[in-house]
Amino acid sequence: MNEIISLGVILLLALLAGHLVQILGLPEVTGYILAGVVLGPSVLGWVSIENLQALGVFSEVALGLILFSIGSVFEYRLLVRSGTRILWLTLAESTLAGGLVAVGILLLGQPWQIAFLLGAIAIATAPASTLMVIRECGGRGPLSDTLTGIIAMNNICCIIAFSLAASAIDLSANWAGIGNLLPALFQAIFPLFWQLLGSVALGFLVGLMLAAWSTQVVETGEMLILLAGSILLCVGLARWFGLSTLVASLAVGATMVNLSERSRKLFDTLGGTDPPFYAIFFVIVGADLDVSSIKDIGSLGLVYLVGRSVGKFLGARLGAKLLNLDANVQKYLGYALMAQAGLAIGLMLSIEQRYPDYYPVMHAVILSSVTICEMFGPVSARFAIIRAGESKSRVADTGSIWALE
Amino acid sequence: MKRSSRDPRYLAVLALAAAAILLVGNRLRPVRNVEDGAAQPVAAESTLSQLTRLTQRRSIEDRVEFVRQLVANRNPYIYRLSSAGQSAVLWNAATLITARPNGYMPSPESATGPGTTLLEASVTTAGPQLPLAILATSLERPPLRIERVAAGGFPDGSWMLALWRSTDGSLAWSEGQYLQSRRTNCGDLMPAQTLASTIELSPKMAGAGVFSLDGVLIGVVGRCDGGLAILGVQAIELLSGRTNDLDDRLLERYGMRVGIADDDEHAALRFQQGLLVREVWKGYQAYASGLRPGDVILSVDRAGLTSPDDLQRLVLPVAQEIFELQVASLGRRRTVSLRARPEVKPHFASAGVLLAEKEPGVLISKVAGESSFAAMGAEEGDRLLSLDGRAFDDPGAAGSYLERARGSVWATVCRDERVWGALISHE
Repeated sequence: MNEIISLGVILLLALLAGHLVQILGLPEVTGYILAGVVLGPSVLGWVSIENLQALGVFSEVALGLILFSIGSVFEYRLLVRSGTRILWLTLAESTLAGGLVAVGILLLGQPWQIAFLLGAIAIATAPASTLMVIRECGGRGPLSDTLTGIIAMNNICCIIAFSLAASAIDLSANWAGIGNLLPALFQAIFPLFWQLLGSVALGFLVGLMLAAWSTQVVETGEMLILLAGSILLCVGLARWFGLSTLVASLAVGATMVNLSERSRKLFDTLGGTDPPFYAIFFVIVGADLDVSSIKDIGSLGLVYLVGRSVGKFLGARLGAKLLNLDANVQKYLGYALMAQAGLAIGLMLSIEQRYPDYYPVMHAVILSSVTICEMFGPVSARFAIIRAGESKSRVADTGSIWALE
Repeated sequence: MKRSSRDPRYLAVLALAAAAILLVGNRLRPVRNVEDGAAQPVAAESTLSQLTRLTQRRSIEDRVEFVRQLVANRNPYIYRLSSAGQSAVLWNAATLITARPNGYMPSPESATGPGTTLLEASVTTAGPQLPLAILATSLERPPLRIERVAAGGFPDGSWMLALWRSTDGSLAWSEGQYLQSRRTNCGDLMPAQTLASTIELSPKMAGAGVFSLDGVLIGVVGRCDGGLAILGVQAIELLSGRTNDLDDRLLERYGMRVGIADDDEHAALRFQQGLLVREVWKGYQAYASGLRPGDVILSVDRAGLTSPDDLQRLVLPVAQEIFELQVASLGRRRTVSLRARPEVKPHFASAGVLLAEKEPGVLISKVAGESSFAAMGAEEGDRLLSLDGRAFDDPGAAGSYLERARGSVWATVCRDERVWGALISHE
């Protein structure tokens, strides 16, 4: 099947699957992912590895657009109002999730390097599927707002934690006496600063260009062209410089929302035109998942899965309670943080490159956990939003969260 | 833009700071050097994406199985040349491609393929200055044409597989990632397309075929710049399309370059007729028979020589076994027997060891940019073998000879297997 046919099949079956899962009360995102699993190499094979490779550019654009949208949570007035609370809440759920996973792995007798790396990866929450669930539910309210802020901060936290763990591993491996301290420190710490500062700098420059140019653009179509061009430019340059595409795309959105009067209109316009990209993105995510990997989860994978889920849930609950947030946030935020996908896979692959000795152990853990989290995470997030009463189409009088919308 | 806090000057400072972070950070960040084989590669995003799919689709064990399948499918295309002791790739039904052998490759050469397949292959294009050699085969049942692609046809970071046949006939392989292609000069083949990769090339891989994970041939491991390199498909096509002129064929068969001398050379080497030997290669017939740069070939089988074309008889397909050459060296005449094919000598002495000869000559530690030695192509690390036919082992003696010499001196220099000479004008 060539790429154009597979693209058509992906779009149509994604739509069909989206409708079907809605009958079951599941989020459309889960339908797209399930359609991808069925179409992909691990089940029917209608969409081959080569097709997925060729369609990869759609994923890049979609992910860039999603992260750009999430960047809007860094609007200055929102940050002033709730930025500190979001930061503490993120630290609470991230620390507890990462800490529980790391301790659990250490208790199973694994080296500290594996425990630290898995702990850092456990922090990540999939921004794309979570945001899509919020959008699909029309989520508006304290929980949805808090959740959007957390998925932005949380991935930055994950990158920082991973870089710190990697720095510690590099430093311990390259330590050759005090005379070698500075070069070893530089080698170990530089990637952290580069990934964060460099990505933010790039995103700021692209966002600045976008904000300045958008004042000259009137038509919606032209605005979309400008936006797509800027996002592609940002993602391409981030790759070129070896930066984080995730942080850079977030920074574009953050810059745009703070500098342009037209940013809200742009984000609204974007929301009305990007569904095909997102459908393709999630079907590709599903096609990339290998459901057979679940059987390889093992005791390490179970510890990772349980530690992460409990840590996210308890961390969000305790953090929200201490910060005296809305009762629904306290109760349901943890449920909405379960999804995990692209960033975890990306970090795992960087482990294969940098620490091949640890890769075989971590590979099965991450793949199986990501498969489970990405299938059930969106369901859990939708449950949280509906239960919190923030879905635009409110729960039917039956009170069942599985009621049809 | 919003008015509050969006002072253009403030934004300009921020933009400058951001640009400075990018510029300085990009300069400071450790960049992988593709020349450094020890450097750990940072995979391109496309590779990460491909790896994601590979790793998610299969467990590690499955990946090994995947590679095994690929290796098995390419099995019919990899041969081992018994005399050269290296691998070769079946380019098409009638042609094998291999690395330039170290030394002379007998023709016909015997090539062992999968199972007990045995081919007789004759050298058609080879030479000490070429990275690869081409052999014509005698396949009775031609296999399917091997799929191949030029470097531009696959993305940076793609995984690839080098395949070669070991001494016991089994296939061995090494995985790595394609980094980039370069246009370099590989001896006489220029510009040759070589492929940089993370595969660590070792001598046992000479003549190995390099394939993409789709089983498409990307290149062959050849010899370039004193080491091994992956020569891309374009380079192989360039080589197979070469017209072999007399110079090439003399170099391929005898390992020598011959030319007409100019007046200065006539005067310095004291001869008026014949053809000047400018270069010989160790391991080839010209060197084995005692010919050296600076020798003048006066006749072949008593027939006088006036132009290089008179040496055609040396390279005819039905060339006789031994030619008798009259040679003059600094006015002294001698007879040289030049064999058309090498005498088969055992690779190892009876004790099972191969002992290297003592390196003759004087090491050249530096060459001034404008000097005559630089003009003749000598470089640091080469060895000066002789001056005006006199061999030197002592740097002091060679230096004082050069100091005392008046007029031009015929210098002979050696680099690895190559020995060549030129007139050094004494200023």
